[in-house]
Order: sequence, then structure tokens, then C-alpha cells
Amino acid sequence: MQRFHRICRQNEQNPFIVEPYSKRIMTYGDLQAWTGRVAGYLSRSGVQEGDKVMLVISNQLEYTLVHFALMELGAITVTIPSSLNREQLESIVSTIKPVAWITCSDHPYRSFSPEQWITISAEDFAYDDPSWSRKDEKYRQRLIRHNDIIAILYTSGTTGTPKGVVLSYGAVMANFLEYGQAIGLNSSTRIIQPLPVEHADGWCFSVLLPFLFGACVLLTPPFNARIAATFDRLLTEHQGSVLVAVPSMLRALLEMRHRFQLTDASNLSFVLCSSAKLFHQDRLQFQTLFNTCVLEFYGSTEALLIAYDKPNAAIREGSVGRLSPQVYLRSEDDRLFVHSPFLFKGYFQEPDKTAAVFDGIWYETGDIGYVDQDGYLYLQGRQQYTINKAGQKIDPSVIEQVCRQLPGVFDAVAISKLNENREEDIYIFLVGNHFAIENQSSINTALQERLTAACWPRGLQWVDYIPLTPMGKVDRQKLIDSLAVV
Amino acid sequence: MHVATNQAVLERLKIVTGKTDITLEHRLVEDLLIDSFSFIRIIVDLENHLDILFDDDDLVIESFPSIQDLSNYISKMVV
Repeated sequence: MQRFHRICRQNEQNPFIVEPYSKRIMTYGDLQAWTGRVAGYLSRSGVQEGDKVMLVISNQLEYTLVHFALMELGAITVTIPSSLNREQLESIVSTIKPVAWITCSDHPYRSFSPEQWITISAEDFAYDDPSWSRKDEKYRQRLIRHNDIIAILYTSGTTGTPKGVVLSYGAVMANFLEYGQAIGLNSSTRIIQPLPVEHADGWCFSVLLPFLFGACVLLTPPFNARIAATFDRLLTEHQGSVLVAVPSMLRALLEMRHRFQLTDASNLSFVLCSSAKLFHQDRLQFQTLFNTCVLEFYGSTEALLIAYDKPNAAIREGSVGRLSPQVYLRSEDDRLFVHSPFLFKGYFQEPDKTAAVFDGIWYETGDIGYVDQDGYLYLQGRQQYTINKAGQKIDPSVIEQVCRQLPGVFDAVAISKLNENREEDIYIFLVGNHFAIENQSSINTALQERLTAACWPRGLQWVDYIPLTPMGKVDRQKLIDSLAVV
Repeated sequence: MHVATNQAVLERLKIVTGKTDITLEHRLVEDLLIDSFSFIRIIVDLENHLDILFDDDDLVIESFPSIQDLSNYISKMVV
């Protein structure tokens, strides 16, 4: 943790975490002082080196503070999605066997091991020097080594049971140092971070990645209508210069444009966008409205960063960026495998699931795609969602993009389902206005004109909305399940 | 005025959600399965078509358990 103290001292007066809506601020100097106190408090509460601790705090500065305190103790932070059902939660708890649960408010999971819950509020540790004495802050400070595990991030489990992705300090540091340098993070960068902290991208941009470069994080609650409606103030009043987002957030912000008063004071240098297909039209509209540049990055919790766009470098339409210079990628039947110093150590106590995707050297991403001669990576969908029509592989996003250009259609998702002959039929879920719904025949005609025959759907289904995961990704499994009962 | 607002809100929600059989008693989350992104679309539509502006602090879906709650809120603005 020598690096931790050095960075804190170098940026002592600079804000590290700012909560724009509650007006709370934690400077780098605060972080250094409070981390020691929280670590001491947790140590006296029984947390020791190597212990696994459930961190169930949403987007609040305490999340970052406690995470650093646990690293200081050599304990392992375990984060879990907020949308687990009881069965999934019980499974995780019985596997992890946490020594403590840390929160800063009441929490729906609190019925689990209530005696193990520790409530932390930053205000309790933000004192000058009243009743607490230095001895209360004493604990055994730990030197973190390259292979030490610092976090286990549980995936959402939308396509199965949640898996605990084990991340080592060395992998995370190598990844963040490369990416932060590539996109030019520094102490004047102010990152607007509305992703849930329990998601890998939210975690990256709320703890170590901005910290390593002395940057400031404008940590908002998970993205909602209020944040969308007041986004211009995050740019003008709070001087946000970088936004971390998923494509559905960019679309929501475009819809809210009538509320924005963008002035010369807003200076959104770039947007870092990932996790789902970014449609070219959305990118262009967003870039024009905010006079900014949307940069894609691609990776996964298991592999961290794989490819990314850089500011002031050429962006190629349809690509998710250039491969990281530290990433080796090979393609087998368009399936992407990666090897890099950033890879996870496996799924926690799941050797079979680990072996299914990771042989110790190569990790299979589950995506299909290819790399062009200049190193730009192009994705053609998730392996599990690729439509196979009589041997022809079809990327659902090709169909979806055509649908979204039809008049009155707001959104579209294409999936496939096996028919009675064990062949895949395409179904398209559409969100649209009355005009589109009442003119379905013209929709069918337009699709037949603009899509190749292999892409023609067997069925169109109008829905009120496309179900999304808490991260804003399309919940395709829910749509597939809904077809089963149609 | 209140009746007119009820009618206008229902009409807009029918258009935005694509559902024709909704009533003022329907709950946004439990009955209409409105998520945070769909909620944004509803807010934008109501603001644009009814010429209103929601208060920033009220822009959380929990503020409006039902369509009636949404309509009551808008009624106060258009009076």
C-alpha cells in the first residue's frame, strides 16, 4: 500500500469522490485518513488478512472507502448484484462463507447472518481528533503482492447461476495502468460514474482506476430519470469531463435533450461506452449534441480490458476499438479466445465452470468476431445469441438496426428459437407507437425489402418495453423465456 | 380540469406503452412493468405533449406508484 499513501499525499487537497446529489466530498487526503480509521475499526471487528467480506453498499463514497480499507487489511472484497433471488444468495453465501457484511444503510439482504453486519458511515470517521486515539487506528498493515486476490465480483446470473470472478491485484493494476494512460486520465479528469458499483465497469471506475491517476469521480446513484434530466448540470456545475455509460444511457440522455441548457462551460471530453452494441446513429447524435467523442471499450469481468478506442485516434465504425498491446487474441470458428496479464484466476470454487472457459492460458470470451489487419476488433454478437439459420450465422444486431430505422419503431431485439424441425426461427420484439403497431403490414414489407431472406422473422411481437438488466443491457433470456409461453 | 388531466395522461401512457387497456388504478412497476429506462420515455413524452416540467427531485419512479399518482402530480402543475 506504499503506492496508496504516495498517491494520497500527491493529491491530498484534490477531490477523489464527489456525490453531486448529496454534496458529499471525499478528498484524497480524507481517503488516506479515513481508510486507516475504517481499517482499524474493521480489524477490531474481527476482519483479518485473507478474510472474505461482502460489500453491499450502492453508489456511495463509503463503497470506495471500505474497499480501500479492506485492501489495507489484506481482506478480500466480495460484491454481489442487487437483484439476486433468495436461492442465488444462499448459494453464494454458502460458498463464500463471509466473515462480515458491510453496508451503510438498511439492506434487503440483511436477513442473512444479521449478527455479521457492520454499518459504516463516512461521517463517523471524518473527525479532526475527538474521542478516538491513534491506538484505535492500529492494525496490521498488509503489503499487497502481485498474486494476491483483492476482489471477487459476482456476475448477475441473467444467463445462469451467478459466478464469482476472482481478480488478483497484479492483473487489475496492469490493466488499469495501461487503460488509464491510454485514455489520458489525470488529476484534472472528472469522471461521471452512474453505473452500479457492483458491476465490473462501475467497480473499475469507482475504486482503483481513477485513483491511480489522481482523478476525481462524480459518483451518482445508479442511472435513473433524475440523473438523465439533470445531466447538463453534471457537465456545467460539476465540470464532468468524462462519462462512463452503456448505450441505453446514451439513448435516454438523447431523449432528455429538451431539458438541457448546454453552455460553453460544459466540456465533455469523451464518453467511455461498453457492455452492449452501440448503434452508429446513437453515437453520431450524442457526439453532435454534446460536442464530444464516444469511445468504445470491450472486455469482461473475467478478462478485464481487451480492446478500446483512444482519444485523438482513428475510430472505425462497427469496431469496439483496437486490441490492447498486452492482449493476445485468437479466433476459432469466429469464437474469440484471449490471453493477457489481465485474466482472472477462475470462478470461486467452481473448477468445472472455470475449466469450461479458461485453460489457464486462454480464456474463451463467449463472443464471436474478428480482428482486421490494423488490430481493430469487430464483434458479431454473443456466441449464445448468434442466430444460426440453416448454417448461416446471423448477428441479431443487423436485424435490430434495420428495425430501429423504421418509422414509429423505438427499439427492437431479434432472437431465435428452435422450431419443431430443430431449426432456428427468428422472432423480433418491437417497441413502437400506435402508428407502427397499426401498420404492421408495412413493417413486414419494409423488413422484406431491407433484409436478406435468411433474416426474415417468423414472428413480430410488440411489447411495452425491452426488458433490461440493472446495468441497462438487454435481458435476452427473459425474451426467450417469454416466447416459450406465447 | 382534473378529469381532463386524467384523460390526457391515460392517452399518453397508452401511446407510449402500446397498451390500450390501462386505467388510472394501474401501478407503474407492478402492473405495467415499467423499468427505469421506460420511465424516462414516459417522462419525456408527458413533458413534451402536456407542456409541463417535472421537478428534478420528483423524477424517481417511486414517487408515482400508480397512474393516478402521476396524474394528480400533473394536475397541480396545470391548474
